[in-house]
Amino acid sequence: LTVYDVRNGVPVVDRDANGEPPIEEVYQSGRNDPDLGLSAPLEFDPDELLIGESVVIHCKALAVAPDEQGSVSVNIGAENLDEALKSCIGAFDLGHLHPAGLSSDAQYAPDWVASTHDGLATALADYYSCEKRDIAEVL
Amino acid sequence: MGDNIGRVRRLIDYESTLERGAALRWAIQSCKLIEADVPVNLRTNVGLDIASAGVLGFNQGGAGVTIGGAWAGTASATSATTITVPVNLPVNSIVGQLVVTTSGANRFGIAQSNTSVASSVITVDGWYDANALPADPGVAFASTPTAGATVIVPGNAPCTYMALANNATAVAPAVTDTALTGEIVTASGGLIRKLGTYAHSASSAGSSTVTLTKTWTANGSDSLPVTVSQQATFQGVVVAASRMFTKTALSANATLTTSGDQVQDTTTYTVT
Repeated sequence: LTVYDVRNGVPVVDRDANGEPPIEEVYQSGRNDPDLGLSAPLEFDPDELLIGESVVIHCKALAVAPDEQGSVSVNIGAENLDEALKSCIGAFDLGHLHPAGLSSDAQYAPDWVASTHDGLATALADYYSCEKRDIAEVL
Repeated sequence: MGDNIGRVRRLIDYESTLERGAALRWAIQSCKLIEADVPVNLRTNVGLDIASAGVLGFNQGGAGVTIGGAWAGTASATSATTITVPVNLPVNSIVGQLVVTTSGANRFGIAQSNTSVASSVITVDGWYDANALPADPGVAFASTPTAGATVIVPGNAPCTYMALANNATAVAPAVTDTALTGEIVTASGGLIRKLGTYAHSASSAGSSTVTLTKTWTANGSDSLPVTVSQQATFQGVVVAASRMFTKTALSANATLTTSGDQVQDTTTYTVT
């Protein structure tokens, strides 16, 4: 399962070995999803907002139809790259992926992601260890 | 006789259940979410009005016709928060609707009220540039358009701004609430009202999920520590004026102690 910051519900995006040290509670809980997480700390400008950027994430089991595959379309609000990455991961995992409200993205990791923002697409593909597609192919 | 009475009662119960079907399904789903410790959004009375107007509000108006809803024509005057249109709209009949103009600049505003006179004056929360939406209340509105071609768009403005309340001053949500008491409004702070991240997915049968998500990051301007206990969604960016769609008490309070601490909220709307 994806490990969220147990205090405030924020996905921990760095892998144990290579990223920034996750919070203590996460270490103690023990992660078992080596394929989920960034391979290197995310570099970003905290003042650069990605308002209006689009993301599409492949979904293997829709929350509203667990037997169906589909995609999740995301429009980024007032968030920098770090916040947008975490919002995409959180919304996909808890809102759109079966079962709703529970973390299951390690079980149903997407096969591909795409975005109008290359940095966000790269980060998501790294996090899920999946293919980064051209946004023009999926829109 | 007894068997017949029993059949009739069962038939009445069955018919009654059918009539209450939608409400029952909603109630059952709500109970499941509550049992799972997932907080259920409280739709405010204003929020219900927004939803109904957004889906069903398609009345047509026109010059000299006192019907609210859709209208197109030429505005006679504008200011930073008003626009005057040559039609007598029923008072406050277009609250929540988008007023769009291409005169001088491409702008839209969210109607907050309107007068009922020969040329109604519509008060908007400000003028938005669709290509540069304000991220938060600290961002200035776009420049005021000139008087000219204007459309009052049917439906209602979407509710995509998300805000947090400080537990120290928050009050329990009630359907009659029109504001998020205790909303964090620290100037230049990272925990203030923000434009949320919207996501949508749908099945082949038409069921869909919509989420609004925001990851807030506390910064040096915030008065820390702060304990967040509630979240709400609004039509617009103006704290004092925007209409509140939902208000939700979090299942657990979130405490942010230092600059860089984060909190994430995902509000889910399921349509089946």
